[in-house]
Amino acid sequence: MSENVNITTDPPEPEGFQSLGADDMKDMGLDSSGPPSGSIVAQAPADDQPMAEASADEVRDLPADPGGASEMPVEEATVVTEDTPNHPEGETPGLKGPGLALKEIDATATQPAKGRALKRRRVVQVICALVLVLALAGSVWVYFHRPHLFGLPHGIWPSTAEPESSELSPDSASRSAASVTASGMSWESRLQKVDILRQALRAKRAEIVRLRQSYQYGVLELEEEIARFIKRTGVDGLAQALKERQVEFNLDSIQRRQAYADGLDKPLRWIDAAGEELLYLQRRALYDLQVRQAASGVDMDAHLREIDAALRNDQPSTENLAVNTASALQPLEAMWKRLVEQSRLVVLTGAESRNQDIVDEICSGNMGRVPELSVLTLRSARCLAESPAMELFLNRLTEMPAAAAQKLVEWPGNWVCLNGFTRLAPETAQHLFAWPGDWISLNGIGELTADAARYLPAWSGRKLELMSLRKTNGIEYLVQWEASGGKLFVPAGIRQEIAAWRQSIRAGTPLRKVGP
Amino acid sequence: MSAGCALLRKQTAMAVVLVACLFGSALADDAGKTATLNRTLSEIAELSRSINQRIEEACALIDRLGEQRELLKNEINQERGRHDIASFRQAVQIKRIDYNLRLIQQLTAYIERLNGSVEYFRGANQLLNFYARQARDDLLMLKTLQDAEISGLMNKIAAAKNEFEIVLNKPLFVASAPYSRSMEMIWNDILRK
Repeated sequence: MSENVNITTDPPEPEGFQSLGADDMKDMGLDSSGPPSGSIVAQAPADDQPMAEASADEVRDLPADPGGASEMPVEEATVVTEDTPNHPEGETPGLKGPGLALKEIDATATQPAKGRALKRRRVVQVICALVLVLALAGSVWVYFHRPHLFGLPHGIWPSTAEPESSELSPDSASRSAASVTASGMSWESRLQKVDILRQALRAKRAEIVRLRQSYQYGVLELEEEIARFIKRTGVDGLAQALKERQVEFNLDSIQRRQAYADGLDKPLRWIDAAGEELLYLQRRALYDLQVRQAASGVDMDAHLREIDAALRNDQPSTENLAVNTASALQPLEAMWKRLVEQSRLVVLTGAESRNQDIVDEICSGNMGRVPELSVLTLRSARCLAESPAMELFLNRLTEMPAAAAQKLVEWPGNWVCLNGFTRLAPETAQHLFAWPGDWISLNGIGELTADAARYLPAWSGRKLELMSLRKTNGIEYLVQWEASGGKLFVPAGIRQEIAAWRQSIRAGTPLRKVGP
Repeated sequence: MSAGCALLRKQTAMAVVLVACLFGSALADDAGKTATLNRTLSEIAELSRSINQRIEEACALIDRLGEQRELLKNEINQERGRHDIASFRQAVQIKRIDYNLRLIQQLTAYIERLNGSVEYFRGANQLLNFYARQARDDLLMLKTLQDAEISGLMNKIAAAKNEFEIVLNKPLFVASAPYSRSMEMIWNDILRK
């Protein structure tokens, strides 16, 4: 991938680095703008010729002409003699007359001390220049690669790495699509973006579904309240009922909540369509990515454009998730008629008013009278589910409507006692054994049907008390749940049945086949 | 020794030299043909290897695409059951089914084209095997009779090699061509299974 190449390749040397070095060289009187092949020494101006190394080179290049030597600068000749220790004493290489060289040395006898001082000065200057260049180069490197040492933010150096592509949280997927469509993004990261966006859409969908359920539960709760009111008061005319402000408010709330719940269908539909489109585009591109080496006419650019457009358009933005506010309100008359019908199914206990008081207390946060609760209404189930209690003793309850059970199992506590139950309906069992808590006491149940028991093996809890159980046709489910680590408290008779069942399984002949 | 005898001996010697020359040239000619055939056989083997490699490549791709097509079909069947759908018109109202049918259409077209490629290459291999067999037969002929006419075979092999080498350097199929099966046909296939 080109991105990877870019990431691993060393960044180009900053221009500032080079120009700084060149200027610095100029400052030191060394012209770096000369011919590229020329050494610093070779580029030195003519009047600087006496530099030792340059002189030596030129001397070596001189033709072996004794006449030429007379034109040689004095210092050069001096150096020649110093640099050629292997030649026999009194002989200058390239010069046939030894006496000539000796004569010249004699002629310059007053110069050596001055020349050595000049040479030392030059060497010191060159060393200083090199140290300065290195220091400047180091500073430039530190400036670009360790900017924080200068108090600058990290990453001032242009990075070719992808911007946090793999660490995007679902929420951040709703950011501007500009980063998504950045050129040079690889297929892998682009498809990953699609995944991330789909995840974000799924999360948003679940959120909306929960909201809709909450509205729908609220509707049921108010409907139950009105049905109980009708049963309690005997008021079955709408006009008369509307005289009660609480009934009027409740009816109004039902209409509004229902409209809200209905209005959420639009964003849900949009999310479903966007998710499906993204999945389709992703799959289609993946198939073509697989065959593109083997086929001609695969237009990956078209995929790219479509995916980028989808990544831009399918963001869970406010506009895209707009609720349908034009949902028609439910007509009051029809609603009232339905509630009157519902009220006929309500059974009011003698302790109805007391129960109502307890529910009010629970809903206001006072959990002291929870054990006295004898009817679990939808409202009481919601208030219990929202309570911070870790244990609920609901032993006065003898049954639990499925909708209330579904709400109650949202309670994040540890232990629930329902010892007033004498039977466990399959739909209640289904909800109860979906509760994430640890311990359920059902010590009033005498018989457990297989239809109810079949939900038990899926329960993640650790303890189940069934101390009154005398009869069950779902023993295999009890065995399965125990085998998965659950601790079952049952009377001796049932324990024997369980043991017999286990033995039969070990022997390979189960007493009875597990039902579907 | 008479002059006639000397002449006869001279003529005989000349004849022997002539026969030797002719035989030698024939031998040289046969050796060239044998070498040509052997070289051609090894070229055919090499080409056949390349073709087999291409077939394997195509088959692997067909398998992979086929598996993906099955997954899409399973999804369609699940959605069908979930929404209780019977007709094509109803089916395409469900986004997942609609999109999956499009994807199956695409994969089916690719698989068909890849199958076409595989068929072509299998045919190519058969033809090459056929030519190789003939070349081996000609080699035996050369070995036994010191002569065989191979130019016709060589021309055919050269033409075949040329064609196959061109095709080998091309992609296995053209993805952009229109799809042969409609979405409704695919839907009906799924219903039938």
